[in-house]
Order: sequence, then structure tokens, then C-alpha cells
Amino acid sequence: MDLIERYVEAVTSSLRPKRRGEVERELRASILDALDARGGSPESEADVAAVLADLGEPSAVAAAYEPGSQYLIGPELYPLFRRVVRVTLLTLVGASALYFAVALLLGGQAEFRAGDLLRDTLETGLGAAILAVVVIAAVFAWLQRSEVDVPARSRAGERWDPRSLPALSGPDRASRFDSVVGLVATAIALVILGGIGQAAAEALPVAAPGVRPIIRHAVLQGVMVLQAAAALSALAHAVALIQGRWRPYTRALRLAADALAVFVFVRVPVELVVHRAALFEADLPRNFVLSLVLTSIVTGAIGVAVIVGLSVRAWRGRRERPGARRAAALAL
Amino acid sequence: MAKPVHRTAAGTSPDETIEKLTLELRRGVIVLACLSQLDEPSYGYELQQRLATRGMEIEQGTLYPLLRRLEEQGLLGEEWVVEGSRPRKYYRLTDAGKRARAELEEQWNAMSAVLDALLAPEHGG
Repeated sequence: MDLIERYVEAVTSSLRPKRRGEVERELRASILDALDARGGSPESEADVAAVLADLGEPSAVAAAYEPGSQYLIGPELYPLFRRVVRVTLLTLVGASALYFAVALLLGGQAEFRAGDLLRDTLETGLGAAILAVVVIAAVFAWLQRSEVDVPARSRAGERWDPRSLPALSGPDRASRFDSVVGLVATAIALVILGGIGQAAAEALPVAAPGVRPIIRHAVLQGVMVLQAAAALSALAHAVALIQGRWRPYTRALRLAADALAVFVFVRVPVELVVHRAALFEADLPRNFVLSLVLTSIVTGAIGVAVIVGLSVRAWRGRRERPGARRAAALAL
Repeated sequence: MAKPVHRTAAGTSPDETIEKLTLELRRGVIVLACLSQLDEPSYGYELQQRLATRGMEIEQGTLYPLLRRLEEQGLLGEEWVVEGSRPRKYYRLTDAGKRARAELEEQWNAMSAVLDALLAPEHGG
């Protein structure tokens, strides 16, 4: 009997609790029926083993009982999952680089150790990457689970209407992928900005008097403006995701967020350049001050280029789809 | 030396491909086979034996979960009956199950007729 119980437990342990008890009862009864038919005994391990071998491996039988829950992320969702993970990881690399550049600014207030800062940045980035992948996988697993329970898009017996296909990507259509990536990137940016803001606030009282205005204007205010920009951007992406298209006011929100971010990316290097004399007078190494100013200029320029480039692309919707070209060719 | 086995782009040998296709073909008809035998209440092992004696071998590990799914879909009703000291779960067709069986039977007959015609020698079968 021990072998039977071990088999029943092996099959049912992965089943949902609400069906487990019923399946356990039925399996036991069926195994005993099969033993009877063979003239075997439940006490004979050889007889039981023969019956269980006929029933099949527990994992295969369990899978037959729960056919809908075999995928964590099914083939329909996997391509989107892969793209979101890829872009999120790339965003994290960019955000870590930005974090490193801004943290250099704060590092000058205390003892400057670029090696320690780089190690901290890598550790933080790696931790955030692992967390991001876990969170994304959990969200997609939940989507997968929901879709298993939700019926197909077209109802049974209802003919699928090709005219219900979404319009070709145009300037107004909000890409689900772009919106999801935008939301994830904004969430990550908010976390990183919060960390930078907190570090700057802690550094302010202990910084040299000449450097304090720079921290206040270039970093603290900049972080606050960037946080506001990130919140506006998240709002615009969320509304566009729900509505499926970009409308004038969501575009305006996004434009405002981009403008705020560009303002900060331009202002930080300008502040540093303007107040370079104060930095040199604050007993900071000359090479560090120069690298700080240069890093802020390069980071600001990259930030501005990325935002302007993405905005222009989104505004014009210049991504042409092969289908559109083919349709145009057929029309000719 | 072992004879090299030709593999397709999908990484399966022709024999494995045929085996999978056969499995898919059978999977489609197993439901109708079960429904056809459940006008009278029957428990899992009894049904499996009945089908086997009529030429339709279905593994128990396939049959029991299938019966459970058909029950969840409302095509089968169930009742636990204690016979001697042993409880057994009996399945029988519900009204929805009877309608489903009639519909599937009709579809099967139509498909069978079409395939017979398609596979006839004059059609190159």
C-alpha cells in the first residue's frame, strides 16, 4: 500500500488543492480495480509496481490533469516577454551608467574612490537586473494564468472578423511593447532617482560650503525635476496603453516630461561649468573636477540625444511596417 | 556500427514524426470513443477495459484525466458508489454530453466519408 500512496502523492502534489482530494480518491480506487483485474494483491510490491507502470509516470499523469498550467509563459506571450526583458536590461545598463556619473559628483564631497563607486554601481545594477527579470516573469506568468482561464478573443461559434485586426502602426497607434517598456523604465528611473536624491540630501550638510549650492541646484533640484518628468511620462504611457493610441493630451504630457528631462540634462553640466571655480576651491583634486564636468556634459548630451531621438520617432511614427510597403506595392 | 537515423529540421526522425501524428489523430477521436460508451454509468477502469476489448486501447493515465475534464465541461455527471468496501466513481452522460456525442458522431461520419473518398485509389490515395 505504501507504493500506492507514494504514487498518488507524486501525482497529486502539483495539482490545485481544490481538485487534489477528488483525484486522490479516484486514483486509489482505479489502482485497486486494476490490481483486482490482474488477480494481484495490494500487499505485493511487484503487483502494485506493474499496475503503476501501466498508469504512467506521475509527472505525465499530473500534466494530463492540469493541461492549462503547463506553461509559465506560453508561446503567445514569450516573444513580448523576451523583448521586454531585453529592453529592460539595456535600460538598466544605461541607468547604471547615469547613476555612476551622478554619484561621481557626490563622491567628491567625501573621500573619492572611483573603484568602490564602480563596484557599488555594478552590485546595484546586477541586483536591480535580477529583481527586474523576476518581477517581469511574475507579471507575465500572471498574464499567462489569466489567459488560460479567459476564453479566446472570439467567442465559440462566432466567426473571426479580419476587419477587427489593429490598424498598421501609424503615428497615433500606441505600441503595447513601447508602453510596457516605458512604464518599466520609468519605475526603475524613479527608484534610482530616489536613491540619488537621498544620497545628495545626506551629503549636503557635510559638504564644503562652496560645493553646497552646486549640490542643491544641480543635484537635488535636478532629481526632483527628473522625478516629476518620470511621473508625467509614466502617466502618459499608462493612459496610451489603456486607450491603445496616442491622443493630443497624452502627447503633450509626454512632451512636457521630455522637456523637463532635457532641461535637467542641459542644466547640470551648465551649473558645473559655471561653478567650476567653487569646485576647484573646495580642495577637490583637479582631475576629479575635470572628469566630473566632462562626464556630466557627455551624460547630458547622451540623455538629450536619446530623448530627442525617441520623441521625433514617436511623433512622426516613422517606423514603416513591411505590411504597409507590401500593401502599397499591391495597390500600384 | 549503428545505422545513422535521418532527422528532419525539427530534430525528429521520420518514425518519431509518424508516431506524433498518429498520437494527434487518436487524441481527436478518444473523446468520442468515451462518450459513445457512457449511456450507462461506468467507472474508469471498467470503461478502459470495455474500450480495449472493442479495439480502442487508451492508457489509464490518459483516460482518467480526460474523464475528469469532460466532467468539468459538464458533458459527464459523476456519482461515488460504495461497492463492498470500495468506493468507485461512476461517470454517465449528461444531457449536454448526449448532445455533444450526437454532434461529434455526425461530424465523425461526415469526415470519415470524405476521407474514405479522398483515400480511395482513384484519388491517388
